Amino acid sequence: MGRLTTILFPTQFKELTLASLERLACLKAAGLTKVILLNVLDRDEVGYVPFGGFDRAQAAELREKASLAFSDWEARLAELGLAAHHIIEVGDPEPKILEVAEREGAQLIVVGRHVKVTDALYPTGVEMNLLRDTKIPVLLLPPEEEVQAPDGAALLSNVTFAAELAEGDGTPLAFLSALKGCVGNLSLLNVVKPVEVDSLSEAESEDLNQARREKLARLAEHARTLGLPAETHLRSGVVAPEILSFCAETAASAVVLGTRGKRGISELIVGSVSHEVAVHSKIPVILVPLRG
Amino acid sequence: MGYRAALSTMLITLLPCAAAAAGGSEALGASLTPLWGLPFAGILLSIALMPLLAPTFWHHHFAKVAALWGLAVALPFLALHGGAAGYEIIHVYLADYLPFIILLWSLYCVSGSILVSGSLSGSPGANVALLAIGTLLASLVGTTGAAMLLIRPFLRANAWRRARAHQVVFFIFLVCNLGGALTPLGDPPLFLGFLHGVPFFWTLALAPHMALVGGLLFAAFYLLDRRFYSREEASPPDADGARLKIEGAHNFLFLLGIVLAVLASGIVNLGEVTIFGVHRPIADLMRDATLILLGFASLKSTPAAVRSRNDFSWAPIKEVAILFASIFIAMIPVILMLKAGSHGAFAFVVEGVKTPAHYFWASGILSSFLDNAPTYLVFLSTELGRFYPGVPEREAILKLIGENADYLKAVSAGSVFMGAVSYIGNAPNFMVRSIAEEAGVEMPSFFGYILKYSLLFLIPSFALATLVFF
Repeated sequence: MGRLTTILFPTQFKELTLASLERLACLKAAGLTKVILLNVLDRDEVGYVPFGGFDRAQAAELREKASLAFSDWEARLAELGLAAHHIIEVGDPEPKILEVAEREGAQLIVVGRHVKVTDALYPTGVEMNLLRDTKIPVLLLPPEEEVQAPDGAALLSNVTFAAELAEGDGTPLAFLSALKGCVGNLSLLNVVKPVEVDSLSEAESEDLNQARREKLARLAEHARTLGLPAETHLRSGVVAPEILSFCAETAASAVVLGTRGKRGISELIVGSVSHEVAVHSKIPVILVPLRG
Repeated sequence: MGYRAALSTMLITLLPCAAAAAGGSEALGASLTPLWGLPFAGILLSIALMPLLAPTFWHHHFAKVAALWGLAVALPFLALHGGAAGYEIIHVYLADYLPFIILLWSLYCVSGSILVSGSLSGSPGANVALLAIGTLLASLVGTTGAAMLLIRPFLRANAWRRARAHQVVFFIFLVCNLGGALTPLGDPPLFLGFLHGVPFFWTLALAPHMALVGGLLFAAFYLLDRRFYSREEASPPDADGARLKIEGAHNFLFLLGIVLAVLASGIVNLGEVTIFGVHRPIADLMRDATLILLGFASLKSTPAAVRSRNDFSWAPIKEVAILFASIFIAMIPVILMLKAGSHGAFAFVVEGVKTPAHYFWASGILSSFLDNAPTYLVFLSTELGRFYPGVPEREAILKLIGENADYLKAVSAGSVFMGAVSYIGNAPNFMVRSIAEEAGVEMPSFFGYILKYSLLFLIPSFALATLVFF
């Protein structure tokens, strides 16, 4: 991937506000020049009025409201040195976001996490379904009342990349290298699951850890060749909570993970570390698809 | 007494009585006054008027409005008539509402999982062909299914055309209404007739009526579309090699399964079970279970992306399910009064509507504005009350077919065909209107549709059908 020039910022004016948008201005250092603001009028809200048809008045009112808000945002983005335009379309929100992202050539989609998704057994909602289906990296911002990023910390000043130490790690690193103008500090973290070492002897366990350290070191070397300042960390524990704990301890400003877009029964039974981190994180999460 | 205890007491009191009340429908119908029909009129008028007068309020609160009308019948009905009322309510849900909504849901799932994409030319000939396919398909997959399957390809094919409203209107006429006349799967009124005892293939008797009206409408559409086509300034876009493609084609097998399941339920006799005092044929329960399985099989076997590209939404079917849950309850006293014939409070209706032509126009005019499914049942009951008062329903329907078939044809044709007269005559009408307006088609207003299209094209066709058949 080349430089990051275009991001898509879909919003219903609830989870994401102008303050969230202003935080993204730091991505200019990575080459960001354009922000596309998107508001999707949910078809079920304006269409299919029972025995009525399409509620044109409601759709027009929502368009007007979105248009006025976006005008202010575009003016603010212009002050920050970023070009912006807005799109307002009717449709099913999640597929429409992906369709517009592909059509406009966006390289990153920025969405806000809904407050209520945290407690669900199987988190749903537009943002979660987006994470499952996207082929474009997604930056998921936590609800503003939950944000624990250090005051004034730039978005990517202290990034944690949760590596699997598998072939897929190259993709998130390649994405981060496109942002290297903004990345201050990069921690490469790998978490060993206790079940992987429980049945091993002390010597075997040490051998496994040594093998992991070596793989992590090679990954860090690869990151440095891409221009990223990387340091390595090895932890043991339940993966998702350990990642979140590490981020809190090191005052990370953002966490990056690869995602395979698990859904349905496989996600319920096997679980998804990336989705679990995305749901519970108090700092921004960047999920980079490892497929397609 | 807490509400849970009250509910338990009511159920314990009613359920044993429900079984005993099965034979008391005629006496109950004769004892009811016309006031019991007010909630039925209320809910149908709400459906007719509120989308016009307060669309945003209606969109967000239609479920509450419908529930109020349903409760306005259910609560006093239960309070005053106890077990007999309980039986009628349970019966209408088990025998009518649940099978009705299960069929609609399964057809909606399966047809929504079939995506038709590719280039169509948008010429008058191609449009007629597409409408013809949709009209014939409607009898197999239901008018809602055929409409949802074809409306977006139809709109895409004609996206380059300036004048498109007439195309969507004739789509509503033909695919959303007329096309559903040939089988019980085609249109909800006919499925309700099937549930009440009309044989599955009897509706093929409407083929001549459909051919006459359909022929006139197709001819009118071709001439009209050709006139607009000749005035188009733009040219059709290049086909760019994009051939017509169907994704999710395996769902046609599920559609076949639905047809066979419904057909089998009308032929096979596996005995009955009694559920809460209501006798239900086992074949019907197996049909409903099969339809549910086929619907889920379609959802599971078709990638979500196919439905997503079809702009599939659950909203329309949810709305129909919610509204009809109350319509069926509100309809109970009206149906009972009509079935009581000259002994009931609506004797004037039973005696006033005399000939097949009367039934065609009476059921038709009301179907134009008051959703055709309950209207069909009302007039079917009127006929049964007129000719065979007191005769068990299934037996009466078979007698009607044997001795007075033209009356049943009149009500069937009137209810199905004239659902096209307004946007509110049939559920797919409003769905198609919504999709077309979202796609930027300037659809006529409620009265514009009637004055510019229905009066000009439909009414003369129906008048001719009356002269020829009724």
